[in-house]
Amino acid sequence: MTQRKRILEQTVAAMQLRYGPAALKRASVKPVAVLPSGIAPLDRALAGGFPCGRFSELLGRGSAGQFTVAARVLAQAQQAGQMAAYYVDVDAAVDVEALVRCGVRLDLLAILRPHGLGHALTMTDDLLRMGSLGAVVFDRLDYPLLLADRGVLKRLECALRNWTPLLSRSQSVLLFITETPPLPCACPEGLPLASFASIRLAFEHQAWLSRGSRVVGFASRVTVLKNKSGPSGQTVSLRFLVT
Amino acid sequence: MSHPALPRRIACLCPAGPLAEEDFVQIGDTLQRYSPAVEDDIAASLFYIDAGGLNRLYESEGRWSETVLAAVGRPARLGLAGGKFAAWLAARTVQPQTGYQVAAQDRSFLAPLPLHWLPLSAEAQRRLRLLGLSTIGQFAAWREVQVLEQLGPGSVVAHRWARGLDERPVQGRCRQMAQAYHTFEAPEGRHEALLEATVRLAQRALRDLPPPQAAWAIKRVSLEAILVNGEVFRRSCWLGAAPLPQTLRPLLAGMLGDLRGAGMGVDEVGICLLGWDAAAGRQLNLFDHTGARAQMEQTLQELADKHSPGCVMQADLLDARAPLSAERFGLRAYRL
Repeated sequence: MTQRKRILEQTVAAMQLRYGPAALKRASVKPVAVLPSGIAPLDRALAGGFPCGRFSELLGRGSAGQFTVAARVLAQAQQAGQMAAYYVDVDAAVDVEALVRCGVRLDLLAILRPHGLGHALTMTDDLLRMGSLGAVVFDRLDYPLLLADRGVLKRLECALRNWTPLLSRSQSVLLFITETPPLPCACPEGLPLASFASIRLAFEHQAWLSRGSRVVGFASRVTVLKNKSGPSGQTVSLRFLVT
Repeated sequence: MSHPALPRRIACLCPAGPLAEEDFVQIGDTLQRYSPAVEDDIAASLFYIDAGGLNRLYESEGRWSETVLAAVGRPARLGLAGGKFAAWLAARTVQPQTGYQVAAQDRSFLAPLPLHWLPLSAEAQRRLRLLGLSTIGQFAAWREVQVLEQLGPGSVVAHRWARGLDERPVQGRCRQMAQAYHTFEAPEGRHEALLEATVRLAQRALRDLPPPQAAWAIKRVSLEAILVNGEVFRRSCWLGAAPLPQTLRPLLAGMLGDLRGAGMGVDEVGICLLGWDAAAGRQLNLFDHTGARAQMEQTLQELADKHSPGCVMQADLLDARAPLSAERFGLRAYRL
Protein backbone atom coordinates (compact mmCIF):
# COMPACT_ATOMS: atom_id res chain seq x y z
CA MET A 1 0.00 0.00 0.00
CA THR A 2 1.43 3.34 -0.97
CA GLN A 3 2.00 6.09 1.57
CA ARG A 4 -0.72 8.22 0.01
CA LYS A 5 -3.28 5.39 0.17
CA ARG A 6 -2.40 4.66 3.80
CA ILE A 7 -2.91 8.31 4.76
CA LEU A 8 -6.28 8.27 3.00
CA GLU A 9 -7.34 5.10 4.87
CA GLN A 10 -6.32 6.61 8.21
CA THR A 11 -8.14 9.85 7.47
CA VAL A 12 -11.34 8.01 6.51
CA ALA A 13 -11.13 5.82 9.64
CA ALA A 14 -10.59 8.84 11.87
CA MET A 15 -13.48 10.75 10.30
CA GLN A 16 -15.81 7.76 10.65
CA LEU A 17 -14.80 7.24 14.26
CA ARG A 18 -15.43 10.87 15.09
CA TYR A 19 -18.57 11.58 13.09
CA GLY A 20 -20.05 8.11 12.67
CA PRO A 21 -19.85 5.49 9.91
CA ALA A 22 -22.47 7.26 7.81
CA ALA A 23 -20.55 10.54 7.73
CA LEU A 24 -18.11 9.48 5.05
CA LYS A 25 -18.64 6.89 2.38
CA ARG A 26 -16.57 5.65 -0.50
CA ALA A 27 -17.84 6.43 -3.95
CA SER A 28 -18.57 3.37 -6.00
CA VAL A 29 -19.94 2.80 -9.46
CA LYS A 30 -22.67 0.20 -9.55
CA PRO A 31 -23.91 -1.14 -12.86
CA VAL A 32 -27.48 -0.02 -13.55
CA ALA A 33 -29.94 -2.86 -14.04
CA VAL A 34 -32.15 -2.45 -17.09
CA LEU A 35 -35.59 -3.70 -17.94
CA PRO A 36 -35.96 -4.49 -21.64
CA SER A 37 -39.07 -3.40 -23.47
CA GLY A 38 -39.17 -6.59 -25.50
CA ILE A 39 -38.97 -4.55 -28.73
CA ALA A 40 -35.57 -5.54 -30.09
CA PRO A 41 -34.65 -2.42 -32.16
CA LEU A 42 -35.63 -0.15 -29.29
CA ASP A 43 -33.70 -2.20 -26.73
CA ARG A 44 -30.63 -2.08 -28.96
CA ALA A 45 -30.93 1.71 -29.22
CA LEU A 46 -31.26 1.96 -25.44
CA ALA A 47 -28.29 -0.32 -24.77
CA GLY A 48 -30.45 -2.98 -23.14
CA GLY A 49 -33.64 -1.32 -22.04
CA PHE A 50 -35.05 1.11 -19.52
CA PRO A 51 -32.88 1.60 -16.41
CA CYS A 52 -34.24 0.37 -13.06
CA GLY A 53 -34.41 2.96 -10.30
CA ARG A 54 -34.56 5.86 -12.75
CA PHE A 55 -37.15 7.96 -14.56
CA SER A 56 -37.79 7.57 -18.25
CA GLU A 57 -39.95 9.74 -20.43
CA LEU A 58 -41.87 8.84 -23.57
CA LEU A 59 -42.76 11.99 -25.48
CA GLY A 60 -45.08 12.33 -28.39
CA ARG A 61 -48.56 12.92 -29.63
CA GLY A 62 -51.37 10.39 -29.84
CA SER A 63 -51.05 7.19 -31.92
CA ALA A 64 -47.27 7.30 -31.93
CA GLY A 65 -46.64 4.19 -29.84
CA GLN A 66 -45.84 5.51 -26.33
CA PHE A 67 -48.66 3.54 -24.75
CA THR A 68 -47.64 0.32 -26.52
CA VAL A 69 -44.02 0.65 -25.43
CA ALA A 70 -45.09 1.45 -21.86
CA ALA A 71 -47.44 -1.56 -21.82
CA ARG A 72 -44.70 -3.83 -23.17
CA VAL A 73 -42.39 -2.64 -20.39
CA LEU A 74 -45.08 -3.46 -17.82
CA ALA A 75 -45.47 -6.92 -19.33
CA GLN A 76 -41.71 -7.47 -19.30
CA ALA A 77 -41.55 -6.36 -15.67
CA GLN A 78 -44.20 -8.94 -14.79
CA GLN A 79 -42.73 -11.75 -16.84
CA ALA A 80 -38.99 -11.32 -16.60
CA GLY A 81 -38.65 -9.28 -13.45
CA GLN A 82 -41.48 -10.89 -11.44
CA MET A 83 -42.60 -7.39 -10.48
CA ALA A 84 -45.98 -5.79 -10.00
CA ALA A 85 -47.22 -3.29 -12.57
CA TYR A 86 -48.88 -0.01 -11.63
CA TYR A 87 -50.65 2.23 -14.11
CA VAL A 88 -51.35 5.79 -12.97
CA ASP A 89 -54.28 6.66 -15.18
CA VAL A 90 -54.60 10.43 -14.80
CA ASP A 91 -57.14 10.81 -17.59
CA ALA A 92 -59.17 7.74 -16.56
CA ALA A 93 -58.90 6.45 -20.10
CA VAL A 94 -56.77 3.33 -19.94
CA ASP A 95 -57.60 0.58 -22.43
CA VAL A 96 -57.31 -2.64 -20.43
CA GLU A 97 -57.69 -4.79 -23.51
CA ALA A 98 -54.74 -3.05 -25.17
CA LEU A 99 -52.68 -3.73 -22.04
CA VAL A 100 -53.64 -7.40 -22.17
CA ARG A 101 -52.78 -7.53 -25.89
CA CYS A 102 -49.30 -6.30 -25.00
CA GLY A 103 -48.92 -9.19 -22.55
CA VAL A 104 -49.79 -7.52 -19.24
CA ARG A 105 -51.14 -9.94 -16.62
CA LEU A 106 -54.21 -8.57 -14.90
CA ASP A 107 -53.57 -10.27 -11.55
CA LEU A 108 -50.35 -8.32 -11.15
CA LEU A 109 -51.70 -5.03 -12.44
CA ALA A 110 -53.09 -2.16 -10.39
CA ILE A 111 -54.68 0.88 -11.96
CA LEU A 112 -54.58 4.08 -9.96
CA ARG A 113 -57.29 6.56 -10.86
CA PRO A 114 -56.47 9.89 -9.21
CA HIS A 115 -58.79 12.89 -9.24
CA GLY A 116 -56.32 15.08 -11.10
CA LEU A 117 -52.68 15.67 -11.77
CA GLY A 118 -51.96 16.94 -8.24
CA HIS A 119 -53.62 13.89 -6.73
CA ALA A 120 -51.75 11.67 -9.19
CA LEU A 121 -48.46 13.08 -7.93
CA THR A 122 -49.52 12.42 -4.33
CA MET A 123 -50.56 8.84 -5.11
CA THR A 124 -47.34 8.13 -6.99
CA ASP A 125 -45.41 9.62 -4.10
CA ASP A 126 -47.17 7.26 -1.69
CA LEU A 127 -46.58 4.35 -4.02
CA LEU A 128 -42.85 4.98 -4.15
CA ARG A 129 -42.57 5.66 -0.42
CA MET A 130 -44.08 2.24 0.29
CA GLY A 131 -40.93 0.87 -1.27
CA SER A 132 -42.69 -1.65 -3.42
CA LEU A 133 -40.78 -3.06 -6.33
CA GLY A 134 -42.49 -2.71 -9.66
CA ALA A 135 -42.90 -0.91 -12.91
CA VAL A 136 -44.97 2.25 -12.89
CA VAL A 137 -46.42 4.04 -15.89
CA PHE A 138 -47.57 7.60 -15.33
CA ASP A 139 -50.09 8.33 -18.06
CA ARG A 140 -49.90 11.21 -18.75
CA LEU A 141 -48.33 14.65 -18.41
CA ASP A 142 -49.87 17.18 -20.74
CA TYR A 143 -47.14 19.63 -21.70
CA PRO A 144 -49.37 22.56 -22.76
CA LEU A 145 -51.49 22.22 -19.61
CA LEU A 146 -48.42 22.02 -17.40
CA LEU A 147 -47.00 25.20 -18.85
CA ALA A 148 -50.31 26.92 -18.25
CA ASP A 149 -50.31 26.03 -14.54
CA ARG A 150 -47.03 27.04 -12.95
CA GLY A 151 -48.17 25.71 -9.55
CA VAL A 152 -48.47 22.15 -10.82
CA LEU A 153 -45.20 22.50 -12.70
CA LYS A 154 -43.46 23.55 -9.49
CA ARG A 155 -45.09 20.65 -7.66
CA LEU A 156 -43.96 18.20 -10.30
CA GLU A 157 -40.40 19.47 -10.03
CA CYS A 158 -40.50 19.12 -6.25
CA ALA A 159 -41.97 15.60 -6.54
CA LEU A 160 -39.31 14.50 -9.01
CA ARG A 161 -36.59 15.77 -6.68
CA ASN A 162 -38.09 13.76 -3.80
CA TRP A 163 -38.70 10.65 -5.87
CA THR A 164 -35.15 10.32 -7.21
CA PRO A 165 -33.71 8.67 -4.05
CA LEU A 166 -36.93 6.68 -3.43
CA LEU A 167 -36.88 5.28 -6.91
CA SER A 168 -33.21 4.47 -6.71
CA ARG A 169 -33.81 2.54 -3.49
CA SER A 170 -36.80 0.57 -4.75
CA GLN A 171 -35.23 -0.22 -8.14
CA SER A 172 -38.58 0.41 -9.79
CA VAL A 173 -38.97 1.60 -13.34
CA LEU A 174 -41.03 4.76 -13.69
CA LEU A 175 -42.14 5.73 -17.17
CA PHE A 176 -43.81 9.05 -17.88
CA ILE A 177 -45.95 9.41 -20.97
CA THR A 178 -45.85 13.05 -21.96
CA GLU A 179 -48.21 14.62 -24.46
CA THR A 180 -46.30 17.15 -26.52
CA PRO A 181 -47.69 20.23 -28.25
CA PRO A 182 -48.12 20.22 -32.02
CA LEU A 183 -45.13 20.63 -34.27
CA PRO A 184 -42.71 22.35 -34.64
CA CYS A 185 -42.14 22.24 -30.87
CA ALA A 186 -42.24 18.44 -30.68
CA CYS A 187 -39.53 17.99 -28.06
CA PRO A 188 -40.15 20.44 -25.22
CA GLU A 189 -37.23 21.32 -22.98
CA GLY A 190 -38.97 23.43 -20.37
CA LEU A 191 -40.26 20.49 -18.33
CA PRO A 192 -38.40 19.41 -15.19
CA LEU A 193 -38.38 15.85 -16.48
CA ALA A 194 -35.90 16.91 -19.15
CA SER A 195 -33.20 17.07 -16.49
CA PHE A 196 -34.44 14.30 -14.15
CA ALA A 197 -35.16 11.57 -16.71
CA SER A 198 -32.42 9.11 -17.56
CA ILE A 199 -34.00 8.26 -20.86
CA ARG A 200 -36.13 10.48 -23.09
CA LEU A 201 -37.67 9.04 -26.20
CA ALA A 202 -39.51 11.14 -28.78
CA PHE A 203 -42.22 9.28 -30.71
CA GLU A 204 -43.44 10.52 -34.08
CA HIS A 205 -46.30 8.98 -35.95
CA GLN A 206 -45.17 8.17 -39.51
CA ALA A 207 -47.98 6.33 -41.29
CA TRP A 208 -50.96 4.08 -40.86
CA LEU A 209 -50.42 0.48 -41.93
CA SER A 210 -53.31 -1.03 -43.81
CA ARG A 211 -54.17 -4.39 -45.29
CA GLY A 212 -56.65 -3.79 -48.06
CA SER A 213 -59.12 -1.30 -46.71
CA ARG A 214 -58.49 -2.24 -43.10
CA VAL A 215 -56.04 -0.35 -40.87
CA VAL A 216 -53.95 -2.92 -39.03
CA GLY A 217 -51.40 -0.72 -37.28
CA PHE A 218 -49.10 2.22 -37.58
CA ALA A 219 -45.45 3.04 -38.10
CA SER A 220 -43.53 5.38 -35.82
CA ARG A 221 -40.11 6.87 -35.60
CA VAL A 222 -38.51 6.90 -32.16
CA THR A 223 -35.58 9.18 -31.41
CA VAL A 224 -33.44 8.75 -28.32
CA LEU A 225 -33.25 12.35 -27.13
CA LYS A 226 -31.33 11.52 -23.97
CA ASN A 227 -29.72 8.44 -22.50
CA LYS A 228 -27.59 8.82 -19.40
CA SER A 229 -26.20 5.30 -19.59
CA GLY A 230 -25.61 5.02 -23.31
CA PRO A 231 -25.36 6.92 -26.55
CA SER A 232 -28.23 9.16 -27.57
CA GLY A 233 -29.33 10.50 -30.91
CA GLN A 234 -30.23 7.21 -32.60
CA THR A 235 -33.46 6.87 -34.46
CA VAL A 236 -35.36 3.64 -34.91
CA SER A 237 -38.43 2.93 -36.96
CA LEU A 238 -41.04 0.75 -35.31
CA ARG A 239 -44.15 -0.87 -36.71
CA PHE A 240 -46.97 -1.46 -34.25
CA LEU A 241 -49.52 -3.98 -35.46
CA VAL A 242 -52.90 -4.28 -33.80
CA THR A 243 -53.70 -7.99 -33.76
CA MET B 1 -56.31 -6.12 14.41
CA SER B 2 -58.11 -4.32 17.21
CA HIS B 3 -60.08 -1.14 16.56
CA PRO B 4 -57.81 1.84 15.86
CA ALA B 5 -59.57 3.86 18.55
CA LEU B 6 -58.47 1.39 21.22
CA PRO B 7 -55.03 1.77 22.79
CA ARG B 8 -52.45 -0.50 21.20
CA ARG B 9 -51.67 -3.45 23.43
CA ILE B 10 -49.60 -6.36 22.26
CA ALA B 11 -48.77 -9.52 24.16
CA CYS B 12 -45.77 -11.71 23.50
CA LEU B 13 -45.97 -15.36 24.54
CA CYS B 14 -42.79 -17.44 24.74
CA PRO B 15 -43.56 -21.12 25.39
CA ALA B 16 -40.83 -22.84 27.41
CA GLY B 17 -38.75 -25.67 26.05
CA PRO B 18 -38.37 -27.01 22.53
CA LEU B 19 -41.62 -27.25 20.58
CA ALA B 20 -42.57 -29.48 17.67
CA GLU B 21 -44.28 -27.73 14.78
CA GLU B 22 -47.53 -29.50 15.62
CA ASP B 23 -47.43 -28.15 19.19
CA PHE B 24 -46.77 -24.72 17.81
CA VAL B 25 -49.85 -24.90 15.58
CA GLN B 26 -51.90 -26.16 18.51
CA ILE B 27 -50.85 -23.24 20.74
CA GLY B 28 -51.66 -20.83 17.90
CA ASP B 29 -55.14 -22.33 17.61
CA THR B 30 -55.64 -21.96 21.36
CA LEU B 31 -54.51 -18.33 21.37
CA GLN B 32 -56.94 -17.46 18.60
CA ARG B 33 -59.75 -18.08 21.05
CA TYR B 34 -58.51 -15.14 23.13
CA SER B 35 -57.56 -12.59 20.50
CA PRO B 36 -58.65 -11.62 16.98
CA ALA B 37 -55.07 -11.55 15.70
CA VAL B 38 -52.25 -13.94 16.55
CA GLU B 39 -48.89 -13.80 14.80
CA ASP B 40 -46.59 -16.78 15.16
CA ASP B 41 -42.86 -16.68 14.69
CA ILE B 42 -41.79 -20.29 14.57
CA ALA B 43 -38.12 -19.41 14.10
CA ALA B 44 -38.04 -17.42 17.34
CA SER B 45 -40.53 -19.79 19.00
CA LEU B 46 -42.90 -17.07 20.15
CA PHE B 47 -46.30 -15.56 19.46
CA TYR B 48 -47.45 -11.97 19.25
CA ILE B 49 -51.06 -11.46 20.24
CA ASP B 50 -53.16 -8.37 19.63
CA ALA B 51 -54.56 -7.59 23.08
CA GLY B 52 -56.09 -4.16 22.40
CA GLY B 53 -59.30 -3.65 24.37
CA LEU B 54 -59.38 -7.20 25.72
CA ASN B 55 -58.90 -6.06 29.32
CA ARG B 56 -62.51 -4.85 29.26
CA LEU B 57 -63.67 -8.40 28.69
CA TYR B 58 -61.43 -9.89 31.35
CA GLU B 59 -61.58 -7.13 34.02
CA SER B 60 -57.86 -6.47 33.78
CA GLU B 61 -54.87 -7.24 31.61
CA GLY B 62 -53.41 -9.39 34.38
CA ARG B 63 -56.57 -11.47 34.44
CA TRP B 64 -56.47 -11.90 30.67
CA SER B 65 -52.81 -12.96 30.87
CA GLU B 66 -53.62 -15.56 33.53
CA THR B 67 -56.46 -16.91 31.43
CA VAL B 68 -54.27 -17.21 28.35
CA LEU B 69 -51.44 -18.88 30.25
CA ALA B 70 -53.90 -21.36 31.76
CA ALA B 71 -55.38 -22.11 28.33
CA VAL B 72 -51.97 -22.75 26.77
CA GLY B 73 -51.51 -25.52 29.32
CA ARG B 74 -47.73 -25.62 29.27
CA PRO B 75 -44.99 -23.50 30.88
CA ALA B 76 -44.78 -20.17 29.10
CA ARG B 77 -43.87 -16.54 29.73
CA LEU B 78 -46.13 -13.70 28.68
CA GLY B 79 -45.33 -10.01 28.35
CA LEU B 80 -47.90 -7.31 27.65
CA ALA B 81 -47.00 -3.83 26.43
CA GLY B 82 -47.87 -1.20 23.83
CA GLY B 83 -45.43 -2.40 21.15
CA LYS B 84 -43.89 -5.64 20.00
CA PHE B 85 -40.39 -4.89 21.28
CA ALA B 86 -41.54 -3.89 24.77
CA ALA B 87 -43.87 -6.92 24.89
CA TRP B 88 -41.02 -9.22 23.90
CA LEU B 89 -38.75 -7.72 26.56
CA ALA B 90 -41.52 -7.95 29.13
CA ALA B 91 -41.82 -11.67 28.32
CA ARG B 92 -38.07 -12.17 28.44
CA THR B 93 -37.67 -10.43 31.82
CA VAL B 94 -40.73 -11.88 33.53
CA GLN B 95 -40.43 -13.24 37.06
CA PRO B 96 -40.77 -17.07 37.05
CA GLN B 97 -43.29 -17.14 39.90
CA THR B 98 -45.85 -14.90 38.14
CA GLY B 99 -45.42 -16.08 34.55
CA TYR B 100 -46.50 -12.77 33.09
CA GLN B 101 -45.56 -9.11 33.19
CA VAL B 102 -47.66 -6.11 32.19
CA ALA B 103 -45.87 -2.93 31.10
CA ALA B 104 -48.21 0.03 31.52
CA GLN B 105 -45.98 2.51 29.65
CA ASP B 106 -43.44 1.20 27.17
CA ARG B 107 -40.88 3.96 27.62
CA SER B 108 -40.84 3.90 31.42
CA PHE B 109 -40.74 0.08 31.39
CA LEU B 110 -37.79 -0.01 29.00
CA ALA B 111 -35.84 2.84 30.61
CA PRO B 112 -34.04 0.91 33.39
CA LEU B 113 -33.20 -2.13 31.24
CA PRO B 114 -29.62 -2.58 29.99
CA LEU B 115 -28.65 -1.54 26.49
CA HIS B 116 -27.72 -4.98 25.24
CA TRP B 117 -31.38 -5.85 24.66
CA LEU B 118 -31.59 -3.32 21.84
CA PRO B 119 -30.99 -4.57 18.28
CA LEU B 120 -27.81 -2.54 17.84
CA SER B 121 -24.63 -3.66 16.15
CA ALA B 122 -21.64 -4.59 18.30
CA GLU B 123 -19.85 -1.44 17.14
CA ALA B 124 -22.82 0.75 18.09
CA GLN B 125 -23.03 -0.92 21.50
CA ARG B 126 -19.31 -0.32 21.99
CA ARG B 127 -19.61 3.34 21.05
CA LEU B 128 -22.53 3.81 23.44
CA ARG B 129 -20.59 2.20 26.27
CA LEU B 130 -17.62 4.48 25.55
CA LEU B 131 -19.97 7.44 25.77
CA GLY B 132 -21.06 6.27 29.20
CA LEU B 133 -24.53 4.96 28.36
CA SER B 134 -25.69 1.81 30.09
CA THR B 135 -29.51 1.79 30.01
CA ILE B 136 -32.14 1.98 27.30
CA GLY B 137 -33.57 5.08 28.98
CA GLN B 138 -30.30 6.97 28.57
CA PHE B 139 -30.19 6.05 24.88
CA ALA B 140 -33.86 7.04 24.47
CA ALA B 141 -33.04 10.51 25.84
CA TRP B 142 -30.88 11.19 22.78
CA ARG B 143 -32.34 13.14 19.90
CA GLU B 144 -32.73 11.33 16.59
CA VAL B 145 -30.19 13.66 14.95
CA GLN B 146 -27.60 12.61 17.52
CA VAL B 147 -28.28 8.93 16.83
CA LEU B 148 -27.87 9.53 13.10
CA GLU B 149 -24.62 11.41 13.60
CA GLN B 150 -23.07 9.00 16.07
CA LEU B 151 -24.35 5.60 14.96
CA GLY B 152 -25.69 6.01 11.45
CA PRO B 153 -29.17 5.36 10.03
CA GLY B 154 -29.06 1.66 10.95
CA SER B 155 -29.62 2.52 14.63
CA VAL B 156 -32.63 4.80 14.20
CA VAL B 157 -35.10 1.92 14.49
CA ALA B 158 -33.54 0.75 17.76
CA HIS B 159 -33.74 4.34 19.02
CA ARG B 160 -37.42 4.54 18.19
CA TRP B 161 -38.05 1.25 19.98
CA ALA B 162 -36.11 2.54 22.98
CA ARG B 163 -38.48 5.52 23.06
CA GLY B 164 -41.43 3.14 23.06
CA LEU B 165 -42.29 3.88 19.43
CA ASP B 166 -42.64 0.44 17.92
CA GLU B 167 -45.45 0.67 15.38
CA ARG B 168 -45.11 -2.84 13.97
CA PRO B 169 -48.61 -4.36 13.82
CA VAL B 170 -49.55 -7.90 14.77
CA GLN B 171 -49.90 -9.76 11.48
CA GLY B 172 -52.78 -12.05 12.28
CA ARG B 173 -52.65 -15.32 10.44
CA CYS B 174 -55.51 -16.57 8.32
CA ARG B 175 -56.91 -19.89 9.38
CA GLN B 176 -56.22 -22.35 6.59
CA MET B 177 -58.89 -24.99 6.53
CA ALA B 178 -60.57 -27.03 3.82
CA GLN B 179 -63.26 -29.55 4.69
CA ALA B 180 -65.82 -31.88 3.14
CA TYR B 181 -68.58 -34.02 4.65
CA HIS B 182 -70.72 -36.91 3.45
CA THR B 183 -73.88 -38.43 4.94
CA PHE B 184 -74.52 -42.10 4.14
CA GLU B 185 -78.02 -43.13 3.14
CA ALA B 186 -77.70 -46.20 5.33
CA PRO B 187 -75.17 -46.68 8.14
CA GLU B 188 -71.90 -47.81 6.61
CA GLY B 189 -69.70 -50.22 8.52
CA ARG B 190 -67.46 -51.69 5.82
CA HIS B 191 -63.88 -50.55 6.15
CA GLU B 192 -63.18 -50.46 2.39
CA ALA B 193 -66.28 -48.39 1.65
CA LEU B 194 -65.44 -45.93 4.43
CA LEU B 195 -61.89 -45.67 3.18
CA GLU B 196 -63.04 -45.00 -0.37
CA ALA B 197 -65.50 -42.37 0.88
CA THR B 198 -62.86 -40.57 2.99
CA VAL B 199 -60.33 -40.58 0.13
CA ARG B 200 -62.93 -38.98 -2.15
CA LEU B 201 -63.84 -36.48 0.56
CA ALA B 202 -60.18 -35.54 0.92
CA GLN B 203 -59.96 -35.00 -2.84
CA ARG B 204 -63.08 -32.84 -2.68
CA ALA B 205 -61.63 -30.79 0.17
CA LEU B 206 -58.43 -30.34 -1.80
CA ARG B 207 -60.34 -28.45 -4.47
CA ASP B 208 -60.63 -25.53 -2.03
CA LEU B 209 -56.85 -25.07 -2.09
CA PRO B 210 -55.38 -22.59 -4.54
CA PRO B 211 -54.18 -24.36 -7.70
CA PRO B 212 -51.96 -26.27 -8.29
CA GLN B 213 -53.18 -28.45 -5.42
CA ALA B 214 -50.37 -30.99 -5.71
CA ALA B 215 -47.85 -28.28 -4.88
CA TRP B 216 -49.11 -27.82 -1.30
CA ALA B 217 -47.99 -29.79 1.72
CA ILE B 218 -50.94 -30.34 4.06
CA LYS B 219 -49.99 -29.95 7.70
CA ARG B 220 -52.73 -31.88 9.46
CA VAL B 221 -55.57 -34.18 8.38
CA SER B 222 -58.48 -34.54 10.70
CA LEU B 223 -61.23 -37.17 10.38
CA GLU B 224 -64.62 -37.02 12.07
CA ALA B 225 -67.27 -39.74 11.93
CA ILE B 226 -70.69 -39.73 13.54
CA LEU B 227 -71.61 -43.26 14.60
CA VAL B 228 -75.08 -44.78 14.63
CA ASN B 229 -75.36 -44.39 18.38
CA GLY B 230 -74.61 -40.68 18.12
CA GLU B 231 -71.04 -40.88 19.33
CA VAL B 232 -68.47 -38.83 17.51
CA PHE B 233 -65.26 -40.54 16.46
CA ARG B 234 -62.36 -38.11 15.89
CA ARG B 235 -58.82 -38.74 14.76
CA SER B 236 -56.19 -36.25 13.73
CA CYS B 237 -52.87 -36.93 12.08
CA TRP B 238 -49.86 -34.89 11.01
CA LEU B 239 -49.20 -35.26 7.28
CA GLY B 240 -46.65 -32.61 6.30
CA ALA B 241 -46.51 -33.71 2.67
CA ALA B 242 -48.23 -33.20 -0.65
CA PRO B 243 -51.72 -34.76 -0.60
CA LEU B 244 -51.04 -37.42 -3.23
CA PRO B 245 -53.44 -40.40 -3.33
CA GLN B 246 -50.64 -42.84 -2.41
CA THR B 247 -49.89 -40.72 0.69
CA LEU B 248 -53.45 -40.04 1.73
CA ARG B 249 -54.85 -43.55 1.40
CA PRO B 250 -52.60 -45.34 3.95
CA LEU B 251 -52.95 -42.40 6.33
CA LEU B 252 -56.75 -42.50 6.21
CA ALA B 253 -56.73 -46.30 6.41
CA GLY B 254 -54.71 -46.06 9.61
CA MET B 255 -57.11 -43.50 11.08
CA LEU B 256 -60.12 -45.63 10.16
CA GLY B 257 -58.41 -48.72 11.61
CA ASP B 258 -59.34 -47.55 15.13
CA LEU B 259 -62.96 -47.35 14.04
CA ARG B 260 -62.99 -50.98 12.95
CA GLY B 261 -62.89 -52.11 16.58
CA ALA B 262 -66.03 -50.12 17.42
CA GLY B 263 -68.08 -52.51 15.28
CA MET B 264 -70.71 -49.88 14.50
CA GLY B 265 -71.99 -48.27 11.35
CA VAL B 266 -71.19 -44.67 10.44
CA ASP B 267 -73.90 -42.16 9.59
CA GLU B 268 -71.73 -39.26 8.54
CA VAL B 269 -68.05 -38.82 7.84
CA GLY B 270 -66.01 -35.65 7.36
CA ILE B 271 -62.47 -34.74 6.43
CA CYS B 272 -60.73 -31.53 7.43
CA LEU B 273 -57.39 -30.38 6.04
CA LEU B 274 -55.71 -27.88 8.37
CA GLY B 275 -52.88 -25.60 7.30
CA TRP B 276 -50.73 -25.85 4.19
CA ASP B 277 -47.33 -24.75 3.02
CA ALA B 278 -45.41 -25.12 -0.21
CA ALA B 279 -44.39 -28.74 -0.62
CA ALA B 280 -40.70 -29.50 -0.93
CA GLY B 281 -39.54 -29.38 -4.54
CA ARG B 282 -42.72 -27.64 -5.67
CA GLN B 283 -41.89 -24.12 -4.56
CA LEU B 284 -41.23 -22.88 -8.07
CA ASN B 285 -44.85 -23.50 -8.98
CA LEU B 286 -46.11 -21.56 -6.03
CA PHE B 287 -43.60 -18.78 -5.74
CA ASP B 288 -44.18 -17.69 -9.30
CA HIS B 289 -45.26 -14.13 -8.60
CA THR B 290 -46.47 -14.83 -5.07
CA GLY B 291 -43.90 -12.49 -3.52
CA ALA B 292 -44.66 -9.67 -5.94
CA ARG B 293 -48.37 -10.25 -5.54
CA ALA B 294 -48.28 -10.18 -1.74
CA GLN B 295 -46.26 -6.98 -1.85
CA MET B 296 -48.68 -5.46 -4.33
CA GLU B 297 -51.67 -6.42 -2.17
CA GLN B 298 -50.08 -4.68 0.82
CA THR B 299 -49.25 -1.58 -1.22
CA LEU B 300 -52.76 -1.38 -2.67
CA GLN B 301 -54.34 -1.83 0.74
CA GLU B 302 -52.31 1.06 2.13
CA LEU B 303 -53.11 3.21 -0.90
CA ALA B 304 -56.83 2.39 -0.67
CA ASP B 305 -56.79 3.21 3.05
CA LYS B 306 -55.11 6.54 2.50
CA HIS B 307 -56.93 7.62 -0.65
CA SER B 308 -60.49 6.65 -1.47
CA PRO B 309 -60.91 2.97 -2.49
CA GLY B 310 -62.29 4.13 -5.84
CA CYS B 311 -58.88 5.53 -6.73
CA VAL B 312 -57.26 2.11 -6.60
CA MET B 313 -58.63 -0.23 -9.24
CA GLN B 314 -57.97 -3.67 -10.55
CA ALA B 315 -58.97 -5.03 -13.92
CA ASP B 316 -60.85 -8.28 -14.48
CA LEU B 317 -61.64 -10.35 -17.52
CA LEU B 318 -65.44 -10.45 -17.61
CA ASP B 319 -66.29 -12.29 -20.81
CA ALA B 320 -63.62 -13.06 -23.39
CA ARG B 321 -66.22 -13.63 -26.11
CA ALA B 322 -68.23 -10.46 -25.57
CA PRO B 323 -68.49 -8.33 -28.73
CA LEU B 324 -67.67 -5.01 -27.06
CA SER B 325 -64.35 -4.25 -25.41
CA ALA B 326 -66.13 -2.67 -22.43
CA GLU B 327 -67.93 -5.98 -21.84
CA ARG B 328 -64.79 -8.07 -22.12
CA PHE B 329 -62.84 -6.30 -19.37
CA GLY B 330 -64.01 -4.44 -16.32
CA LEU B 331 -62.47 -2.30 -13.62
CA ARG B 332 -63.39 -2.71 -9.98
CA ALA B 333 -62.36 -0.78 -6.88
CA TYR B 334 -59.66 -2.64 -4.99
CA ARG B 335 -60.62 -4.63 -1.94
CA LEU B 336 -58.61 -7.23 -0.10
